[in-house]
Amino acid sequence: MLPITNFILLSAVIFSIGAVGVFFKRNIITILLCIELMLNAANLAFVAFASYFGDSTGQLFVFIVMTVAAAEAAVGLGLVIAIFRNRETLNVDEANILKL
Amino acid sequence: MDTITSYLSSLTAEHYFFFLFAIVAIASSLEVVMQRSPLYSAIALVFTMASLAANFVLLKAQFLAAIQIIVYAGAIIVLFVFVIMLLNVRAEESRLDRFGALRFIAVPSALVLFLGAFAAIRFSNLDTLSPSPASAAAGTTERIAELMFTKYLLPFEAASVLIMMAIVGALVLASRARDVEAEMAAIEAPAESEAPLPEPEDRLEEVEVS
Repeated sequence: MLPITNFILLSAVIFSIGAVGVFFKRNIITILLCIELMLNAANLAFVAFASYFGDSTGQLFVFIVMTVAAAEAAVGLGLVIAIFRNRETLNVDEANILKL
Repeated sequence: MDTITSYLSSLTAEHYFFFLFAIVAIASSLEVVMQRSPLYSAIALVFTMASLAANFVLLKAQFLAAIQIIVYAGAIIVLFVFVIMLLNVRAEESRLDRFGALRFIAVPSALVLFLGAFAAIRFSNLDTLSPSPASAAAGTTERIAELMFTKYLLPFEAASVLIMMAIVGALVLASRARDVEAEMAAIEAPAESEAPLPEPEDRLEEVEVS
């Protein structure tokens, strides 16, 4: 197999791109998509290390991460619908009712 | 020139596939961030997921590659696309980017994040890590199922409880809030204008029995 650094570097690049998206975007749906991107980058690092150590535990935890990502997407999109129904906007800067 | 040709001849098919899928993954994840419409971002994310699944195959994690396609590209992204289309956001409303100070902080801070990770990878001895002989069988469904239903049964059950809670939470959040005050008023003061029920004998109908 290829040196593991290739996969870990790819994972770091994708994670950083996802982080830029979370900083930069104001649309709440795109922010959720960028969070999915970051979770996927973490998954790639998990799988790379699990394969190189020949241990399936890391791959099992990727499965758990996918479960958590599905739950997060369901609840997050429920929140998006609730916010859009009350505010008629997807802009995260306008959902500031808890701001001091 | 000699070093380049010797480098190129040392590349295997695995290298080429890795570079191909790495480039697709990076380009499509950039597209997720650069696209202004969330629908196009979601479509670009499908490409990222698919190329990451190809990388999982290169890492001999076949089960996870299949699950990645089925769960992420098949279920989660479809959920996102459903919500984007359900909300039917106006075009100018969906094209929002930050114009404040955060815009100038975002890229440098992500660069710092990446350079930190890069330094950590460079200065560790990751290159000396060679694949263990057991890694060929580590990604099979059999091995993962064996672990999941023996040693890690509790995290598996906890994940199913989490999914259950997420279903209930999503339903509560997304369902229309009931107008409690109007319902209470209706219970306390029944509408007067409703016509009274007809007397029981008026409601009976004569039928002929042959």
